[in-house]
Amino acid sequence: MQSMEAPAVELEYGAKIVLAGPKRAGKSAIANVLAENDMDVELAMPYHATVGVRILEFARLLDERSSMEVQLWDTSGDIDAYVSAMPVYMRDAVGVILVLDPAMKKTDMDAWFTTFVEDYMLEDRQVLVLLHMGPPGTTLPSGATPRSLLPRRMAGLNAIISTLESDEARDDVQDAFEDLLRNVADVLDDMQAEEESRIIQSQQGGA
Amino acid sequence: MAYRPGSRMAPPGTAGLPPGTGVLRPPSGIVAPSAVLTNRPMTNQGVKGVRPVTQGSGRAFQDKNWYIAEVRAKTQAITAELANLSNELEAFNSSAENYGAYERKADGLASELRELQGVLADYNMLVDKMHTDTGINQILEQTAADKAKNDEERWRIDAMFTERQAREEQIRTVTTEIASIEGTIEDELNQLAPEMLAEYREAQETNDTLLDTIGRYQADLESGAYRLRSMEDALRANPLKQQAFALFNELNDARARRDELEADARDSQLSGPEEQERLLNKVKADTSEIGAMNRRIAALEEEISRGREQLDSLAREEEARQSDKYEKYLQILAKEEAIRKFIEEFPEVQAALAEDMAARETAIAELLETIGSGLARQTNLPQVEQVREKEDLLEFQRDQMGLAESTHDKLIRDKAERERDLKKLDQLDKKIERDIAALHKRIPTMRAELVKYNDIKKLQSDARKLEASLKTQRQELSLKREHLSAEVGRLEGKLNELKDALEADETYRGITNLQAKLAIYEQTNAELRDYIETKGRESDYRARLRDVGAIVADINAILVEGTKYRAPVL
Repeated sequence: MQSMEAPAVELEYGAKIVLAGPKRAGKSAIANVLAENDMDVELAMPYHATVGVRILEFARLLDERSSMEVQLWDTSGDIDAYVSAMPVYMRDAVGVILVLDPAMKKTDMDAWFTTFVEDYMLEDRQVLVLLHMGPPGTTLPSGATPRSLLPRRMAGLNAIISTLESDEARDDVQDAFEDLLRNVADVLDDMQAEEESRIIQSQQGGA
Repeated sequence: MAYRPGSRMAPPGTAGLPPGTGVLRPPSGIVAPSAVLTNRPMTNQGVKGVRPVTQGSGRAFQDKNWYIAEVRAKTQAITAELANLSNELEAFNSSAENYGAYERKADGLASELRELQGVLADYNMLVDKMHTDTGINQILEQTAADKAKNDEERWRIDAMFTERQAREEQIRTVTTEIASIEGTIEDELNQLAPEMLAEYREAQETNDTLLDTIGRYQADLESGAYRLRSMEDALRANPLKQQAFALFNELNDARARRDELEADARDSQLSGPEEQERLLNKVKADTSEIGAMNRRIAALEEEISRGREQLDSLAREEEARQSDKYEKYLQILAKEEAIRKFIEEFPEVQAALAEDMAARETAIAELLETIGSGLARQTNLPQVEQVREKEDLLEFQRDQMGLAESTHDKLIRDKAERERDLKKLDQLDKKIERDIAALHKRIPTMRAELVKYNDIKKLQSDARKLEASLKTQRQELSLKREHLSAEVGRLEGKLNELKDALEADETYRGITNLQAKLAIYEQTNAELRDYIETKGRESDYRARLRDVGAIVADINAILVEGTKYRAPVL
C-alpha cells in the first residue's frame, strides 16, 4: 500500500473525479451536463448502458484566477461485471460523485459508499452525493431532504436532490460540482503540504 | 398647281418643295447631233482618203424585176425575223409563267423552311436541356413563364392595335372636320361682298408672287449653300487656306472682343448713378436668371432622382424575376436532394457508427481488464534485492547453460569423428581377415616347397644337368637352321627360273590380255547397268500417271460441285 502512504497525484490530465452509482441512475446524463456537451442531442438519444467507462476531459473555472482541469470518469453501473476494473476506476481518484436513486434502500446506499469511498479512504469533503430524480413524474415523499433520505453514516456528506429538467436545476448541479472541485483543490493542496513536510522530515532523519 | 399651296394654308417654309436647280431645263430644239456625226464615214487623214466603193461583178443593169426580187427577199427576211421574234416572245412568256410558278413554289418552300427552322430550334433547345440535365419541373416552370410573357405581349399588341384603330378613327374624323371647315370657308367666301372678294383675290395673287419670290430666294440660297460647301471642301483640302481661315476667325473674335472691351470702357466712363442703375439692372436680371436656373436644376435633379429610382426598381424587379425565383428553386431542390440522401444513407451510417461504438466499448472493457490485472499485480510485487539476486542467479545460470551448450556441440562433433574412424577400422578388419584367409590357403604348398628347397645341393646338380642338356639342344638346332637356309636359297633360284619361263610363255600373255579386256568389259557392263537403271527410273511414267489420275479426279469433283450450284446455261 505504498500508493496510499504517498499518493503522488500527478495532475497530468487534471483532477480525476469518479462518477459512480447503480445502473440507470443517470450518471452519463449528469456527466454530459457537467462536461457541457450538447444536451439536446444527448437527451434525445435513447438509453445506452455505459460499457466499462467513459472519460470526459474539460476545464472548469473555479474563480476569476484559477481554473481546474477535470478528468471525469463516468463508470458503468454494472459494478459486478467490472470487478477487476475497480482499482482502475479509483486509482489516483481525488473525488467521487455518488449518483443514487432517492427511492433506494439505505443499506444499498451504504454499500455504494463503502465500495467507492470508505475502501479508498477518501475524506467526506471529497464526496458529492446526487440524489437523482429519474424520468419526469417521479416524486419524493413530502418533506424529504437529502439528509433524511441518506443513511446516518452518510448524513454528513454534501448532498443535493438533482434533476436535469430545467436550466435552474442544471445550474444547481453545476454549483454543487464546483463546490466539490474547490474541496478537491483544498485536498490536493493539503496532500502537497503533507508530502513536502514528509520529505523534510525524512531528510532530517537521514541527517 | 401641284406645287402651289392653297391660299388658305400658311406660307411654306424653306423646307418645303423648292424648285430644283437645273431640273426644269427647257429641251433644246436640236435633235441629238452626235448621232448624226457618228454615222459619217471618217478616215484618219480626212476626206481625201475615202475611196468610192467600186461595183464589182454583179448586175450592171438594174431593172424593175431586180427591184421586185430585192423587195421580196427583204420581205422574206422580215417575215423570218418576225417569226423569230414571236418565238422568242412565246418563250419569254412561258418562262415568265414558269417564273411565277417557281416564285410561288419558292415562297411556299421558304415558309416551310421557316417552319422547319422553328422546329429545329425547338429540338435544339430540347437537346440542350437534356444535356444540361434540366429537371422537367424547371422546364415546365420556364414554359409557364414564357407563356405568361407571351400572353402579356399579345395583350399589349392588342392594346396597341385598338389604340391605333382609335387614332385612325380620330384622324378620319379630323379629316372630315377639315373638309367641312373648308366647305364652310368656301361658302363664306362665296357669300362675301364683291369688293371684299376682289380684295381677297388680290391678296391671293400677292401671295402667289411672294411664293414665287420665296422659291427664287430658296434657289439662290441653295446655290449659295452649294458654293459654300464646295469652298469648304477646297478649304479642307488646302492646309494653308485652313490656317488662314482659322487665323481669320481668330481675328474676328479678337475684333469682337475689342469692340466689347471698348463698349465696357465707354460704359465705365458713364456717370455714377447711370452706371449704378445699369449694374443694378444687370444684377437683378442675373439674380432672376440664377433663381430660374436653380429652380430648373432642382426640378431636373428631382426628375433625375425619380427616374433613377424608377430605373432601380425596374432593375430590381427584373433581377428578382430573373434570378430570385430560380435561385430559390435550385436551393430548395439541392436541400431536398441532401435530405433525401441523408435519409437514404442514415441506416447504413447508423449501423456503421453503432458497430464502431461497440468495437470501442469492447476495447474499453478489455483495457479495463488489462489495467486492473496490472494494478493488482503492482500491489504485491517482490522486494528489489530479491529480484536482483534472482536476476544474478539467472544470469549465472544462463552463462553456465551457454557453456554446457557449447560443450555439447563439441561433443557431438567429436562423436561424429569417432564414428567415422570406427567405420574405417571396420573396413580394415575385413581386409585383414581376407588376407589371413588367403595366407592360410598358401600354407600347405609353401610347406611342400619348403621341403623341396631344404635340399640345396640336389637342386644345384639338377640345375647343372638341365643346363647341359639345353646347351646340346641349342647346338643341334643351329645346325638344322643352316641346313634349312641353304635349302631355301636353292628353292628360290628354282622359283625364279619358273617365273621367267612363265613370262616367256605366249599363252600366259594372251590370258593376261584377255583378263584385262574382261575387266574392262565388266566395268562397261556395270556402267551400262547403272545407266539403264537410272533411265528406267527416269522414264517410269506410272507415278506420274497416278498423280495425273488424282488431279483429273479432283477437277471432276470440282466440276460436279460447280454444276450443282449453277443454273443450267441455255
